[in-house]
Amino acid sequence: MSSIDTIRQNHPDNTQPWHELSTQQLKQAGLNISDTEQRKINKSLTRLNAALIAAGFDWTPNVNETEDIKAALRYKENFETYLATYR
Amino acid sequence: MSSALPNTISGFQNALERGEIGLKESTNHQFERFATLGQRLRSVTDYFEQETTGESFGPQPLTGVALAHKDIFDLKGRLPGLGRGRGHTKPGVQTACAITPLQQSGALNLGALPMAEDACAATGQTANLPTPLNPLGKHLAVGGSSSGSAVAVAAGMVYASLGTDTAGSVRMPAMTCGVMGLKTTHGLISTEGVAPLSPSLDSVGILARSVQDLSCILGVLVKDIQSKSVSQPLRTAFWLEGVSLSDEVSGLIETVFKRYGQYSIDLSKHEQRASTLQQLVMAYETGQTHQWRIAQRLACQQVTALGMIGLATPHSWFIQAIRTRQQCTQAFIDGAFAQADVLLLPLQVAPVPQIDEVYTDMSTFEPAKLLALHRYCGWINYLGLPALSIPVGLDSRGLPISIQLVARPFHEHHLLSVAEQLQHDLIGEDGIKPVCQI
Repeated sequence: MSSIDTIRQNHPDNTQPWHELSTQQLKQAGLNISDTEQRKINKSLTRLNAALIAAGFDWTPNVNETEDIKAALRYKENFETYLATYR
Repeated sequence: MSSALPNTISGFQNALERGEIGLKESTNHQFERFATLGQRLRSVTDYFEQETTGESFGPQPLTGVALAHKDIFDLKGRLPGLGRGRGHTKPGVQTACAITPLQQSGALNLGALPMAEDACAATGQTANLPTPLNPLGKHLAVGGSSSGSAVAVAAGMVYASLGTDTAGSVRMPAMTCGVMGLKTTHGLISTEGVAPLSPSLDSVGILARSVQDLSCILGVLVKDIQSKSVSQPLRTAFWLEGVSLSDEVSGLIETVFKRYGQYSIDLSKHEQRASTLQQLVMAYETGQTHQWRIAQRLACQQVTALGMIGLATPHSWFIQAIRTRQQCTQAFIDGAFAQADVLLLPLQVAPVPQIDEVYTDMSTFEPAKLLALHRYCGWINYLGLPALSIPVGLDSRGLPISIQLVARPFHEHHLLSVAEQLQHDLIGEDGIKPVCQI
């Protein structure tokens, strides 16, 4: 199953903060993880979130995904088409 | 036959045409050499049976040329081992799109080469199979994930090898073994029949000892690349400002950049953005690709660690990251390539590491040195651009120091043109000589 198909199936409630979404997503993925693993994951995501903000991508408030999933599908499929304009 | 077959594919083909070597004789010799060095360097996962080869040969560009590839490609009736173990037979499996034209051009496929498990590590260290040895010295690490490809090319077991590059997996092993690695534009070579890691970032790449051989293999894989020529002198720029390089490599890299780059450009902001988004996309897609194996605790340590982060990454971040990709690439092209055709960029930030520094099971393991291996790799994958790693000199220990060249999408011919000049000036017309100090 592609990642996009998974997004379609597991579309989360986008009103939640990212760390709650993360926990939900791991459960949806069938992962039974230890507290240590959960702490490591949270630490990594906190670091990633900080890196995103530092790079100018403040995505802490979640976007409206219902609309963006369609856009993301289009952008993903079109990226190779875009690159091909440089052939 | 002596061990000294011509060093390049064109040299080999010329020798065949002139009758200086026979096809059958050279084929036997290449198989023997592959087996002997493969055993010594622990750099073959599966040996393939010698194909029946007659003395006559047609005008095919790769007739009798020894190749072997990363064990990530499907072959007819065989699923790859992916660094987890040996491959296994499965009726109905078709040869990967990238391998087919090589076979149709007369190349020999001698065997499957080791790789980091599931193509997800910066070194060639493996848990279930022997880790290949670096032909430059057994104490030296081999970069991953196309580790066996780099070892086989460096030792002269084959002329060239296909690998894959998601975050430097062609360039890093090439760098540590002192050979060249070409990561192609995302989508230039089909990944059908190639096990995915992060499909948005995965690219097929080529490892070889000379620019001529990179060009020859690329020409077989991508027909229209041969029709592209470089008619005008290419404009070059280099990026050094704010780049972190160790003292052992900085002097040489700076000299080469200033000699071959016409002006300096600061790419820090582009690199920061693209690196962050690349990490996000790779983690997310690794999680999706290996979700079942991670949940079942069957995935290797690296895939589990990265994939768990990916599975926990909010979908909205991934969506934003791929939505932003085209804008980032366009901004980079508009800025970096406004007055340049090829960029000289950092790749190697420190000397080739030793095994005890970067293999994770060693008591002296240094995470910072492992991270340094791929410090400047992944952002190029996010941008989808082609990159070519090439050694440009030696450090005080006599070990190679490499840089990477980067061009606009589908402008691999620009990379090859500049690399040809570097090879001419810094390596030699015939390319890098095979080496095996083990």
